[in-house]
Amino acid sequence: MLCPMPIESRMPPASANRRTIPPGLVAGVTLTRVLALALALASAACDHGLEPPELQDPGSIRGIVRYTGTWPAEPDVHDLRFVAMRFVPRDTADFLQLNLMAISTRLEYGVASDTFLVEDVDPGVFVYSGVAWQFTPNLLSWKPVGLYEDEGGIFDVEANRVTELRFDVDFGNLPPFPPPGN
Amino acid sequence: MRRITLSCLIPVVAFLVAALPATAQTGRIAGRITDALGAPLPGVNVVLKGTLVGTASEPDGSYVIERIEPGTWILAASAVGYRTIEHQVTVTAGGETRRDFELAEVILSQSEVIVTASRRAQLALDVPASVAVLTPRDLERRNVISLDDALRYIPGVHMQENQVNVRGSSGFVYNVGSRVLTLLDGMPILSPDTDGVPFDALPVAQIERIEVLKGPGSALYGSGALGGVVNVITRRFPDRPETQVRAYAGVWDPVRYEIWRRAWDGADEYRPFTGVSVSHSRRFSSELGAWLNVSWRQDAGYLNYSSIRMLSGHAKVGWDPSASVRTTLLLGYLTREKDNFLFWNGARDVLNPGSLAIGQSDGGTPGGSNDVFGQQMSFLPSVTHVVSSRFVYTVKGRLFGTVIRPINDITGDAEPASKGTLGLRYGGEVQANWSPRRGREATFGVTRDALATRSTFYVTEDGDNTGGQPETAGFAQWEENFSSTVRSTAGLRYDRYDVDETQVVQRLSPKLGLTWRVAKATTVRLAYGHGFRVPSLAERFTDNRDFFPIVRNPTLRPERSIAYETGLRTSGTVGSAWAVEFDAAAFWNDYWDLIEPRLETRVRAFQFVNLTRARIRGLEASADFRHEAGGHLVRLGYTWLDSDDLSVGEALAFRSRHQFTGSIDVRVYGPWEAGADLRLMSAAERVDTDFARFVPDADLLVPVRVVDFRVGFRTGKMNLAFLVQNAFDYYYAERPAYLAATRRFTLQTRFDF
Repeated sequence: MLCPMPIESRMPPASANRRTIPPGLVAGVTLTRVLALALALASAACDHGLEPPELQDPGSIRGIVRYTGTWPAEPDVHDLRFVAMRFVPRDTADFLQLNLMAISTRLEYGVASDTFLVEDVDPGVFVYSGVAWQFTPNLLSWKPVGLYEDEGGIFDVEANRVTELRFDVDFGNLPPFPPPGN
Repeated sequence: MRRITLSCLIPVVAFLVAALPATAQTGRIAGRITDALGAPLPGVNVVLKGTLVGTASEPDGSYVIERIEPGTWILAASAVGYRTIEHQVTVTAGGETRRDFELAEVILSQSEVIVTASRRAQLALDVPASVAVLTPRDLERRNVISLDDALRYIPGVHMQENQVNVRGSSGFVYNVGSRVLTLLDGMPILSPDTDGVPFDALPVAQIERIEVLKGPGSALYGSGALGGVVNVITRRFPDRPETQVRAYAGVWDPVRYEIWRRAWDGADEYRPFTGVSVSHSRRFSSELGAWLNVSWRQDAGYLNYSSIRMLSGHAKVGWDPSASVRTTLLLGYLTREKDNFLFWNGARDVLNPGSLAIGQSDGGTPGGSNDVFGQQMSFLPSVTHVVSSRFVYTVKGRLFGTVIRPINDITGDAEPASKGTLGLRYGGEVQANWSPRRGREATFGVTRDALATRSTFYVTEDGDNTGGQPETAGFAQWEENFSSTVRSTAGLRYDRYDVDETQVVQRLSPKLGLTWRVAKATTVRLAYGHGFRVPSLAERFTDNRDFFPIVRNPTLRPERSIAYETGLRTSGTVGSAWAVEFDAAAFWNDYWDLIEPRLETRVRAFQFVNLTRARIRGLEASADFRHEAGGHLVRLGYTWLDSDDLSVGEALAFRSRHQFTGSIDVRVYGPWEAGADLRLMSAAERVDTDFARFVPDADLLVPVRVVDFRVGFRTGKMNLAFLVQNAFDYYYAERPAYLAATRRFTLQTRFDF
């Protein structure tokens, strides 16, 4: 690590050379002091700034989703995934906060039920989760079609543990979005 | 699409023909210029007052001015850092008049000449605005290779990667729609597509100085000068041929965190960068001079997808057909292949670009970067005619072109320009400076500029992908000395933009200024001015979903600002050895209709919108301490910003409340020098939440604490230096989701022949 030494160790003794310094070199002493001040300020840089977030052992989310109601036409289902969020979204654009989400692989179309497994999930609390449907090719054309609502929709993912979820999707009764109150 | 015409150049050509000189019997003046200790002073400007005739002293301090009409002249010698001296000399036909100068070193401000604030040369003490100046030495000692590197060290200027932010005027918008106007020798040179600053297009190796006007400059310069003006002024020509070779090479230090290195194979290596710049300048005769610079640089980059390869050439030709006429032509060309790293892949993977597409976060083509092949060309002619000692006028033309060709990710080849952007900014201006009597100066002129930019990203009003937006303007400024100590300035500019066939934007931009010399070396200033910025074509017409989903907004209104400033500039000495220059300012800037990208859920995409009503107040102080005998220099600057986004009642996004810059340069022993720079900034008080919703961890901003060290030796013919930039390897984001430059080691050398 390249950090400045303590200021005192770099400064000459206060009395040293006091009588032998030519007047013209007084400026040099002043400069040394300025340099010492600069190094003191610079030492503030030793906190290193940005750091990668703490790395924890990941957990997993495994779930079963059961479908009821009439599926949308297959061409309108551009994508379908389980999505778990660490926040309550305000609108569809929040589906892009990838670092605050866990996302499954694509779910199967037209089935009565499906399973999913999301691995390597950073431990923490998820507060809004369910199956999301991309209804046009547009990047932001997503909406939830079914939510995990046990325990208020809140669950924990712990390190080296598998969190089990089970919930329903009713295509005849889609959840409101954005969520009320947001 | 509007056709480009060369009508603006016709007066230039006609004038050149009309101004051909009549040969006559002439004389010459020669001499030598030294400092108070008898040491030769190179680079001192020696001119005959009231004319354009002059030269710069050679490395041994000598100078010669030839082909002077017989008569009595006032000969002035001036250089930054020295008191100007004038002598009356008599020139006889066929004879040589000798005149030596001994210049006394003074603190900077007394002799420093500023041209940006008033479109004419004036002493810094008389400028009713905050202006900072960078010299070639400032650039060389920091191995500055592009303008953005240089501006980081100016108090009140905050670089957000490739975007200039003067006193908090700008947030962060990827250098689209710069609120700081960039001039090259006084001519606007913002890019014709985004109105961004084309940093690489500026001839850094041949810069005489860079002036940064802090505050609106629209009363003289029109659109773009909302927050400030950066004027890059290039060198004239030496009497004796000079060749300069400057080369550097260095490496980026691998980042210290294993988790970051693990995500990119290249992160474990010392990643190299290198460059060479060759310049030659000379006078062919007393009338004709030229310089040529060719530069090449290659940088592997410290981020994945951030490499650059660039070749550029610049040339300037000057022809002074008579004592009263000066013509110059500045040419530039660059070709560049560049990876643009747009945003990271989160705080755990800062070295790789991220992805926007759900389902592609673990692979696929990264959306957080784009590779482009770019070319830029500039053609800037000008003619100045000194009609009399009281009246001077200048005719300028400008043509700046850019070609951006995307690189095919699969083949690695550049796509045709028809699949990218092809843009031209062209125009011209006529400016006159009239001094009806001592202490009274009038500056006035007209300008005409237009764009012709076609981009596959644009959807314009008439359905094609080409934009024009021609502008016509007239400006006038009156300066008057009320007394020997009080000087006033009043100016007004009218701009008319034909945005399209149905929409016309007109603006009146006034300014007022007052300087009061309360003591010999102390002035107090008051300034009031308006600024505005017409939206760029990119902000108005970009409609694309390749990287960010963006939809166009043809109804954008111009941004406006009103600024008030009071300041004090003084100079003096501390003890017997240190000269001090001090400047302090308090400013209050109001902004209306600031344009920012917003995520519009209605259209499910980003869109540039007039959103923000803002107020930025602040204090700024800077002090330069120069030890005249020892050659030491200490510079300190501090800026305090209080920014309010009045539309949401919070601080403006991406503005830091505190900014401190400090530098120290010491002549250690003989030719050996050492120096250090320190930049401190508090973390931005607020980040753009829309961007943070879009890009992982984009809200992670920390304070800036960067220290650079350098050591080297300098002789008259050679310079060798070793630099450690970001010496403590402090990691920070200069703008959201982008790790700023990490530690790098550079060895640079310069030879003069």
